[in-house]
Amino acid sequence: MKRVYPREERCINCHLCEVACIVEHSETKLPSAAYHVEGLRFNREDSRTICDPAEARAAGVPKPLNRTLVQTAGYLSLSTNCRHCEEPDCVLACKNGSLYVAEDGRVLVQEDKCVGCWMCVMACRYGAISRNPARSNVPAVAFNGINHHCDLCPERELPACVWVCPTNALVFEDRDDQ
Amino acid sequence: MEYYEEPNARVALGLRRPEPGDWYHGYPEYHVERDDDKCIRCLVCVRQCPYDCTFYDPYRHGVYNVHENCVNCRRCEFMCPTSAIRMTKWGAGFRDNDNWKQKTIRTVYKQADSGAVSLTGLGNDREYVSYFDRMVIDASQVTNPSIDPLREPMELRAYIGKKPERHTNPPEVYPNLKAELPVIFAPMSFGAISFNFQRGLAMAAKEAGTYFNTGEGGLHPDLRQYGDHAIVQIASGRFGVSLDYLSNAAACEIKIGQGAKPGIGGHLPGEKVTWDVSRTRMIPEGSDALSPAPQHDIYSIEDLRLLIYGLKEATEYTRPVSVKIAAVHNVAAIASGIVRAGADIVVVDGFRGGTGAAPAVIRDHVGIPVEVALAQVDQRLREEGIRHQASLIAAGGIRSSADVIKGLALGADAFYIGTAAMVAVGCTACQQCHRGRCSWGITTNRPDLAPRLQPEVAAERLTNLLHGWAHEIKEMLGMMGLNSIESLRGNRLKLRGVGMTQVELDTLGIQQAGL
Amino acid sequence: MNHVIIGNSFAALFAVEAIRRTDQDAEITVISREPQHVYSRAMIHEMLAGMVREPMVYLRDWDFYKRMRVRTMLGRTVTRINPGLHTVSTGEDETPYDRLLIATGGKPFVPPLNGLQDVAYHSFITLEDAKKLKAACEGRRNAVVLGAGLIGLQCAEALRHMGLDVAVVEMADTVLPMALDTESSQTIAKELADEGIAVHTGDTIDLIISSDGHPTECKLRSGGTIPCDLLVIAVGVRPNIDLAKDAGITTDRGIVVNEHMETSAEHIYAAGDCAQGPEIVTGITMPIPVIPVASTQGMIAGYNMAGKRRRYGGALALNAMQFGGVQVISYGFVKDERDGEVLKYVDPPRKIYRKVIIKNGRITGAIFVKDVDRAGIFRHLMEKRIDVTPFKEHLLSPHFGVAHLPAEIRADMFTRPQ
Ligand SMILES: Cc1cc2nc3c(=O)[nH]c(=O)nc-3n(C[C@H](O)[C@H](O)[C@H](O)COP(=O)(O)OP(=O)(O)OC[C@H]3O[C@@H](n4cnc5c(N)ncnc54)[C@H](O)[C@@H]3O)c2cc1C
Ligand code: SF4
Ligand code: SF4
Ligand code: SF4
Repeated sequence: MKRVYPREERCINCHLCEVACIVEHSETKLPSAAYHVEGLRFNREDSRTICDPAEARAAGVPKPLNRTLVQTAGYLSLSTNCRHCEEPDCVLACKNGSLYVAEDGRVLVQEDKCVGCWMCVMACRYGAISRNPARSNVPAVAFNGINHHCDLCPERELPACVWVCPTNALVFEDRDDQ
Repeated sequence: MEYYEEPNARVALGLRRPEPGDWYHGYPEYHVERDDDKCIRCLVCVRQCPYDCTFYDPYRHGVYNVHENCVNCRRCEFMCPTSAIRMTKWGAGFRDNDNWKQKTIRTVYKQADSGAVSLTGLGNDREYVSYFDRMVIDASQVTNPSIDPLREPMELRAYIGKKPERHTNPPEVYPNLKAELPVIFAPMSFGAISFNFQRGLAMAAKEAGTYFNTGEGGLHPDLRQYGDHAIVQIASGRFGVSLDYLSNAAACEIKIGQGAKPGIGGHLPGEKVTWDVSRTRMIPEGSDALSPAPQHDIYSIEDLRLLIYGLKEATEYTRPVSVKIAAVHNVAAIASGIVRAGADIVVVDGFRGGTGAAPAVIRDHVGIPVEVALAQVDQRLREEGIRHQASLIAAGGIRSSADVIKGLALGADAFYIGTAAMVAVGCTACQQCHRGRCSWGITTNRPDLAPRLQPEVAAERLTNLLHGWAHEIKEMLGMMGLNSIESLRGNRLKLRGVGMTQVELDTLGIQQAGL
Repeated sequence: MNHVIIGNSFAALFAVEAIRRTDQDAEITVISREPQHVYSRAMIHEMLAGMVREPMVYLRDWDFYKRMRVRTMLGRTVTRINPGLHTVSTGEDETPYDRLLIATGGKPFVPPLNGLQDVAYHSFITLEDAKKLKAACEGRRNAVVLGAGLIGLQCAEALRHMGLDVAVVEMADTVLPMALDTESSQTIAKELADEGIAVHTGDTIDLIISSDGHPTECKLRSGGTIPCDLLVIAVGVRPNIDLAKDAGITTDRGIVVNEHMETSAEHIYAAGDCAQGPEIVTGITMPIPVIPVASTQGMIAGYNMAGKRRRYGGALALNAMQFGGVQVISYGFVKDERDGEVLKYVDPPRKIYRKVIIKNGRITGAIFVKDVDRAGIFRHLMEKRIDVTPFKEHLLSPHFGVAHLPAEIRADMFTRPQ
């Protein structure tokens, strides 16, 4: 199956992939509306920005809703997202069967079933799952958010992150035979 | 390896004190306007700015600029996903004064701040007369038919090197470069430019059937495969020179001078000498790469001859040897000496030539325009009957196919393009090359910035540029009724001058428009 | 091939999926004591508290077994395995098998307590338990939960959520003594106290006072007495190995299996909470009663049963839990700091705590409190036994991620299908 693969030597740490991902998964698919009206925000915990993450968090930062995450170390950066594993650790760990492997091979979550137990966060060795606090299926404060990970942009031929990347640091390829 | 400290928002956005030690930054030149309604605080601009100009303030949840740091490279404007950014000039500047312009004042401030030589990059940005822009080209009307390049063959191929003096049987054959169009990528060394850019140049040169020039920084092992399209330089630092370097190349070039900084050497700071640069230049990692001002074994034409023939011996007389000089006052006589010393190619680099780093005062005030140098050198070599012994390459300030046509008519065989190639791949001429953090990934090897330019993107854009120029050159040749660049070379009758004095016209060897 | 699976939970479910993926024609029979469709025990406290709708506790659609062409015998208890005859017996009938998977999970351990024989008390393991407990809550005020393990605390939290006064009694000095280290369990204890749950650690119930078969008060060893009209015993779960033991299969604390999930008896496999398979940090076998291990073991067993030879490198003890607003994720052995290098990051006001224990360059235990994003990378480091010395100083940085890993490891993770 076609998956998104990062090519780290090309990544310029611009985070446009994150922006495109957020916009693609917004209601309006318009950046200004997505950010200003829908209140979606960005990842401030980036090492190349000036702000200290602790400061940002103290200022009450909303959690990012990007499904691809640019990870950095020094001058290295790469955008990582769900590998859509063949035998997904997250599915094996999911507490109530919310995560499943769809027929086309994508690993998806039933957004109305996930209870936010974060077994998937624990299980996914790629760190591909984030916690979406914007939705919750359990009313109590104790259980916040639902699983949030790459869905390979079902409405697009080319996932938004791959489409936007200015240096082709993300590719959408079938490497199953390799 | 960390090159500089992460900028700190508190320092950048905190209360500013009038800094008596930093008047240069006290007066911004540009103003980064951000449409706050559009801005989504994605911080793309913050991450893209290598000049510590753009900041995110977590308290106001907004993006702000320290405008005095802005160099107007426009990278943020290009990358912003909501087109929220616009560059403007900062306010009124200083009181209108044609003698004391903003730039002049700020340069004085900068030196008074630092006591240092004011460095800059790219090429001369002063308002000198551009003779290219004062020359106009002829066209056929009635008495001689023009040629339609779409219907008839047009020969753009340039053979560059020594030509035989007379016809003999069998003919004398000298090694020549064969360029499918008379445009070659100028020497720009790996170290000064990014590996990706050099690779893009190499790929485009191969694709378009022309050449790229390694500059003085050696040939990276990964570019060895492009040796057939490489002109390799031997400069005063002798970086990366080995027998393999010389014999793997299409031609060898002795660099005497550079149009942007005639008579001075170069200095690549140790921090730019990364592992990759170090193995290409064959110097220790992190050590300063110093190019002495002169080549210390060349103090005369006779010394130059030794090196030229040394290179010919080393390459067994299979490659042309080129000598590159800056266009200076006695350029014609110097070029004549170079040809007599055995050079197969003479490169004359005018004072608009680019550089990775040069003292501003030298870049802006030393040397002469390539147009006049070219005219004079061609004239002199013809007069001395040695024009056929060497080809002439003009460099420094070639911006368009029109410049190429005009230069051909003034007598050049081919042209080097450097700045034009950089602009083709994204350079906005912000003149910060010397700071080693080019925001477009062109003149930097900082690992986070260099990937901003990808080799195949560069190659495609450069190939496009050459294609476009080739097309235009053919059109212009056809319009003059010519079908090869050979027929235009040195044909000054095809040029006329506009708005020049008689002395200028005579120096260029052309007539006043209308005559 | 005729596959029989005893049990209908995580291990059984993933075994079914693996068998079906490998062999379209296999016959599969699932026998389970519990009558329900395949559900998650880990959801029963949320069910109890009424936080989730009942459909959310079931692991697959209603028609799952039909689609998988599985014969189900739900609500039937296996009483005997006959390895010689290749059959299992439910008392009423004998079911033959070619391959058998024992996935009987765990059973609650009930300690001897004075007065326990006279009262009605509750376990908290099955959906049935939860439903019974819910019914029993009616009109009760003071619940006492014995045991501050994961199950006990989840039950206590649910009861508290329902409005009861809850006291938890735990023999050890801290809550979650097996799963957490001191710092993190203190954070959790504080969280519980904030929710209004009384936690008595280092204590136990000496005597249960009752009337009419209902508890009224518990006397604690420390001397105090706490009111009690609802008693839940959640002291622990033991691997359910009786069937295997009776059939002469090698057992220790659990049913001993090798890396192919094979027991000592031919064609009999075991997986999940009842099994004792290899552990990856120590290399010895031990039962690890957590969902991901049960699922993975079930899947491996399924593949091997269906004839696709698959090896299991070993299980890593790992858990994710949350109490109050605090999430905790732990890997490996978080209490054993002997001869290890301990790295810690603490931020008490934000309740953030991260700890990593490194021995011989390899991580042997890691725990993350509150700031749990991307913790899974540690699982990779631990399961692959990666030497972390070169990037040790970054491990606890808030930015730590795959970019800090050596290039080969990153390439292995991100350049080919996983
Ligand atoms: C309340 C609770 C909360 C939990 N929370 C978590 C958590 O948050 N995270 C986590 O990782 N783990 C948690 N666990 C542990 C987790 O539920 C187990 O690891 C997992 O259920 C094990 O699956 P299993 O398939 O091995 O066995 P089990 O789930 O124990 O299932 C055993 C199956 O075997 C059947 N069975 C047993 N004996 C017989 C017999 N003789 N005949 C027929 N059928 C039989 C039973 O009916 C049942 O279907 C929790 C457990 C409980 C009880
Ligand atoms: S858009 Fe491309 S270059 Fe930019 S951060 Fe994402 S992967 Fe890297
Ligand atoms: S979330 Fe993680 S474990 Fe699940 S499929 Fe994606 S990469 Fe694999
Ligand atoms: S790149 Fe554009 S949208 Fe993003 S923070 Fe900068 S100005 Fe705002």
